[in-house]
Amino acid sequence: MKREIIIAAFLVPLAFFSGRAMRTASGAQIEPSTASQRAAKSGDRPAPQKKQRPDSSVPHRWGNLRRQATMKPEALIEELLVSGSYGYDTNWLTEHLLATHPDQLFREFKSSGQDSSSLVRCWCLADPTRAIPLVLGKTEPFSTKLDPENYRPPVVFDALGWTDPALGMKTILELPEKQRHPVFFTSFLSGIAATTPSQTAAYFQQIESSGPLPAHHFGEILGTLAAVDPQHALAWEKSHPELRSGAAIEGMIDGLCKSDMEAAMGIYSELPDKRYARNAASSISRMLATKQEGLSSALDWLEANAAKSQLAEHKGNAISVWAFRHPDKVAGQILADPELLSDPRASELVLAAGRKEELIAQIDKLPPEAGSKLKELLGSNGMLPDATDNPITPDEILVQMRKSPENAQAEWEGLPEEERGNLISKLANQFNTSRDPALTLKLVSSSPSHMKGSGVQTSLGRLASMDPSAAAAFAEGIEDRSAREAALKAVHSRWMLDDEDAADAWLAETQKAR
Amino acid sequence: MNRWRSHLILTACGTGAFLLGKADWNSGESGDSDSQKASAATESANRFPTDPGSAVTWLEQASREDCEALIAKQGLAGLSPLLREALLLRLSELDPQRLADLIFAMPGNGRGMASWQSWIGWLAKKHPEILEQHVASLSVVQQEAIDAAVRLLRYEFRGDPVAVFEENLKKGKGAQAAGALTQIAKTDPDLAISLLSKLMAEGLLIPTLDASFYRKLANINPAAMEALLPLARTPELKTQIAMALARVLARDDPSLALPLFDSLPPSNARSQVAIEIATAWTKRDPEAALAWVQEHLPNGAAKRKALAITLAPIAESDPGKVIPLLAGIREGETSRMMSDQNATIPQQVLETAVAALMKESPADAVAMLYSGAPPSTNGSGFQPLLTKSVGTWFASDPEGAIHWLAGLDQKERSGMMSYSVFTEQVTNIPPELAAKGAGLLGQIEDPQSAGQMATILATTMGKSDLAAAIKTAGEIPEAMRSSWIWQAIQSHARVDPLAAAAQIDHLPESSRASAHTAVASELAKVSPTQAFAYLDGLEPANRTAQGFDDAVSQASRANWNETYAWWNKLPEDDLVARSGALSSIAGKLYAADPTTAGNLREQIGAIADGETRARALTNLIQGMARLDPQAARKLAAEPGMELPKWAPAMIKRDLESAIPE
Repeated sequence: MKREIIIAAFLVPLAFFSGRAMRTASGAQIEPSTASQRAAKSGDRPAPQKKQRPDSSVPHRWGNLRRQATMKPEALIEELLVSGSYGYDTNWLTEHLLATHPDQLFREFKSSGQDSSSLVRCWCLADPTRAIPLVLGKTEPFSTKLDPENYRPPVVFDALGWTDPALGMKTILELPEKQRHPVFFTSFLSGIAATTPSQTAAYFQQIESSGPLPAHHFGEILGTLAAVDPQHALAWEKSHPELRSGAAIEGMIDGLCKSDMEAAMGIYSELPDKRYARNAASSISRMLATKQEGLSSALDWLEANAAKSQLAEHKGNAISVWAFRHPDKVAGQILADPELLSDPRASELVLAAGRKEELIAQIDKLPPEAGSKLKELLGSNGMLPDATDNPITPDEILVQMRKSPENAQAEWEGLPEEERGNLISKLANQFNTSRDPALTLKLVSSSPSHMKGSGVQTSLGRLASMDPSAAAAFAEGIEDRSAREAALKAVHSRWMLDDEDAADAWLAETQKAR
Repeated sequence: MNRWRSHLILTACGTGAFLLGKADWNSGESGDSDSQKASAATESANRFPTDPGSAVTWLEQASREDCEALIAKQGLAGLSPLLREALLLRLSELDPQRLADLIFAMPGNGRGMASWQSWIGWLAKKHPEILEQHVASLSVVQQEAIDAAVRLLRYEFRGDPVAVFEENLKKGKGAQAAGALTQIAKTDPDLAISLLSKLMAEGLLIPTLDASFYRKLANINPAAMEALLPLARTPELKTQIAMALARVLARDDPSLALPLFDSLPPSNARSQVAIEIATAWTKRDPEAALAWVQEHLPNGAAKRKALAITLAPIAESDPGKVIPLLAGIREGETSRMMSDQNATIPQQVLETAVAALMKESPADAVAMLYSGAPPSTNGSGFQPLLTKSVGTWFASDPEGAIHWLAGLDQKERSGMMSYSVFTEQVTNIPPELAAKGAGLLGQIEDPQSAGQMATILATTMGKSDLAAAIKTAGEIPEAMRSSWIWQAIQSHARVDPLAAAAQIDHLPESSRASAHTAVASELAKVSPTQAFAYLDGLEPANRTAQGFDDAVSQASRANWNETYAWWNKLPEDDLVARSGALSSIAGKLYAADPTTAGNLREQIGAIADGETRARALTNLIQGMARLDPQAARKLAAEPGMELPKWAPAMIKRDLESAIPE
């Protein structure tokens, strides 16, 4: 018994503390909870505690929300206009201002020449019953002109599809025909299919009987039905044998891929001319390629079924889709099928993978030709660890020239003639807005034969938009006559935008001097 | 005491102590039970501050129970988007599962919230298991939307942006470092400015980033951003920084941006700064803005853009001032200016002004447009707005417009009248006005332009009043008369083919067959049988293969069954009808019954006219190629009939394009 008492003397406090510990472990919320209770009691909430570095993926920061909470609507609108309405960190601000100050927000957007599409779309999704009558009505500043040519206008009916399909259908059908953009139906049905798929077929029928729709939009509607209710869509297709090709059937195939791949493939195989079924082939192959083990089946299917003239394009897309979905499978797939490396879009495999060590390790495991191809792809994408293995790129030369001109000059001159020629050719023929045009032109001009490259004229135009005199002097100094004429034209045409008189006077003077 | 007994004692003591430990925690720290805690939270939620600033602070420190009490009281939908986001942010710290449950319980599984994509992306990154659990029960359409959101955010940014920036700076990779900067700017713009200066000082290549990135930085610290301008080595970067600065500086007082304008050399960056200044200034004082633009900007597209911004408010009220200043706009010039962020489109301002003046004085509007940018006579100088305006003028005052057109150079006039923007306007005027115009045709001296004008006017009149058009024919110069009547009849045939046919006798005999063809074609669009009966009723001279070719072509599109039945009943010896029909539907006849291939080939070989024969054979081969490429190739290689020289090459081309892959 004594022994038990001694054991108990140890165990009881242990159990006591484990009771506490367990409570603590199960509730990271202890501190805030008790803090809030204390504060609730005292009526005075403590200052926020210093927190760890915030999670960079969380959509908000407390500091920003605190600051924005005290700002006046004008300042919030200004902040939205300044930051743009597309940033993920400000999307909610659009919705907030639409809820609190829609009139002011629309007015400011319109008066500052900003496209208000993002407001309209956001509002239709967040508060459809308020937004839709206003944006489709004549009341300013909400009235939104719908361009019939715009395939994706900002007024959308998804939200009425989610919340009140009957009202959504009624609203669309009551619109004057001229105002009834086909996308109202597509977004509406997509909303229904998202939340109450079982109702999709009934609303599809109502839409279909409301009158003809442009083929692409109808295809999309049929695709939505096919995605959630393939049986119904297939029955519909059977009763419309005239639709053996075109956008409607392609839309249907796109939807079926998501619900009944076998049926999608069956319909595709019956299409009369595969050249006119580009979208359908793309839908099927992309959907196959999204699966982890799906690349081979996508490529095999394309080989057997796609129009020959579109095969390369579809295969490239399938490779890209698969690689970016399953980057960690790329290395293994390359080993299993080295032929992939010969595809014109093989670069995307290594870009998507980004797992350099694993990929580099495959170089020696592959047959020699495929190994060197992989090495080349890794090198040209700057993914080999040892910089000496990577050929120097035109951009790297420009950076070095800017950073340390003397060293770079020495290094440049030390490069083999052929490599220098390659680099100059790239600089002379490519267009890249991040390159310093003056430095680019300086390097290219060391090889007069490259002065006719299309990139030379682009660089000259860019230089003329920043420093027209420098561009003019450079163009005048080109020895080759036809290259010089093209250069003078490039400088003149860009300079004209900022100063017509100076550009004309310079050109006249230059031509007179010659 | 046996072993079991001692175990029981220990277990009892341990359990008691464990429970005591819990009880001590509850009473020692808070002194409340769970229900008391909940009621404290409810009490706390009842005191949820009404002003947004305090409400955000309240939420920042809220407990799980506080959050629940608030949700029970107001619901997520009852909160403003600001407070909803604060609540979600707090739940992301306390209970991600609850956050996901709340979002997915909202309409459209939360897709109505503007922040939906961001929260879905966060769940995918931090709590994929919670997201998967919700996604599994959703419709495929919704799953797809979630998948798209997750993929978009996954590729937007991976990893810690500051670490990514530093790593890429070290490696000299400007594009990747700049990508990290845009991420940093979202939450710490000051840090982003200092890192941007580092990136620029290192000479790294910076890609074109979203304009809002630079505006955000300029908004936080304009002086620091201005100090970066000299470091920019590309026009794109210089322009983006300068524009962002100008917008921020000019926002409160446009004159604050003038020193920036003055400090820049003539360049796109300076032009864009001027456009920003003009935009801000116009909102306060358009006249002062206009005066500043006119005085300080050299002529060019940039100046016209700035002028358009200052003139937009008076485009309708004072078009006479606007048109001369903007008439020189060159097509597409605005789109060539880099980093164009301002939505005012000079061409639209000009169009608004022209439309306003056209109502008052079309002659002035046209004269202003012409003197601002006369159409060049080498064919490259089509001025759509001028041409359209002359057409509009014609519709209200044909006399004035014809008089003005008569004064132009022949090439200018002829070019203008050949564009659809002109003809569309004129063909929609009332017949009385067209008749008035016809009476003035003599004013146009050169026969080509006069003929063009006569064609347009005859089409206009013929469409609505054929009798008047035929009467008017007597009043126009004789040389144009027969062509005028033919145009009028053809135009009327589109509206009422048989009424048009009744007037064909007004034409000289040589033109009648083609007029009958036009009538039959129009009839065939509605009733193939009626069209064929019409052709059959004509005198032999007017019953031509061409007539059947055109009519059958229309008929086969309108009603194939009717057309096919007609063909099957066609007498063997009606070679006129047969040859016309074969040249437009031989391929379809083959498709309807491939066993007739040999017979069709024989009939085609018997067509007397070589051109018609070649067209019919091509048509047959095309139809055959879709169903039996081998047979089509064989027929093309050995047609077994004489063909014009040009035919084999055309047959080969059409054959290859018709064969499906």
